[in-house]
Order: sequence, then C-alpha cells, then structure tokens
Amino acid sequence: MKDKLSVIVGAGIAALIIILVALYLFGSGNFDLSDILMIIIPIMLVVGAITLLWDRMKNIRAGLPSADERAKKLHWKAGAYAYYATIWIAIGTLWYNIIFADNLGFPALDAGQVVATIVLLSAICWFAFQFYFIRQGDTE
Amino acid sequence: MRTRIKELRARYDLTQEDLAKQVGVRRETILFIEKGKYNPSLKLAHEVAKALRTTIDDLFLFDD
Repeated sequence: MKDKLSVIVGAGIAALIIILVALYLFGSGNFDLSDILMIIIPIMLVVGAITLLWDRMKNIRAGLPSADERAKKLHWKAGAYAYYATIWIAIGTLWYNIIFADNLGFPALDAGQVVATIVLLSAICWFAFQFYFIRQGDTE
Repeated sequence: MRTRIKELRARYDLTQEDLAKQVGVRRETILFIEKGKYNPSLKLAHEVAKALRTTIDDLFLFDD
C-alpha cells in the first residue's frame, strides 16, 4: 500500500510539473537561455521520475517490492556521487566565467544561468549515476 | 565470492522471481547475489538461506 501511494504521489507531482511548464510556455513571449533551461530542467526531472516510477510499478505488478536494500543503497550512493559532481560543476562554471568569458570573449553566465546550469547538470548526474549503479552488482 | 543459490533454486524448482517474492526483494537483487556480484546484508543472506533450506555457510562460498 505504501509503495502504491508513493507511486501515486510521484505521478501527481510529475503531472503538476508538466502543467506548470505548459502554463509557463503559454505565458512567455520570447525565450532566452534562462527560459530554455527553466523548461528543460523540469522536463528532464519529470522524464527521470517517470522512468523510475515505471520501474517501481513493474515490480509492484509482479508482486515484488518497489525498493529493497540494494535499490536503497544504490539510490543513496548515486546521490553522494551526484553531490560530488555538483561541486565540480559549480567550480567549472566559475572557471568558465574566469577563463572563457573574461579572457577569451565567450558570453558570461549570469547568476540565474549558473544556478540553472548547476541544477540541470546535477539532475542529469543523479539520474546517470542511478542508471549506471543499478546495472552494477556493488560488491565491496 | 561464489554462491550455491542457482543449484539450490534448481533443486527446489524455484525461479529467481519466486525466490525474490519469498525473501521480499527485487528479482535483480537475487540475480546479482547469485552471480556473486552483490554482498547482501546478514539479514537478507539469512532469509535467502532459510528460503533455500540451508545455512549461510553452505550457501556462500569464499575463496580464501
């Protein structure tokens, strides 16, 4: 019951995000980089969440638990790796502004774009680590 | 680490999914334990051994 409830809540949040993105799209006129990132980030999060929910539903339908000790362990491991990756991504955006924008004439990232880039890339990292680790055995 | 899970599953005519249902884990977890690619917790190792009517010592073989 708890498993099914978590899937229903997850699907509800995903649907809500899709509706908010649609409203944002209808309300906006011209799009710049920040607007595009504002659309891509929720879409990526929703796609990732739907993939995870689909996997959970598949197990629930087969009469198996949606998550077990291995899945939970790998979930947290992916989170830890994504956290380290996020720190390097944040440092990377700083280097980009110093090396490429200040010295080589590339367009500089403003605060909003830096935050959006970090959120987008850290979400990508989390999903990528999650999918990578779930296919590994994890022996220590 | 090697395991005798596959051999004992065959003896009791259990699929990976049947065993997974009995011990309350996902099928892939049984697959990785069986291949020796995942070290289960002591509790899960005990559950698997119990489901296969054996002991942890007899189920998991270590190359010392």
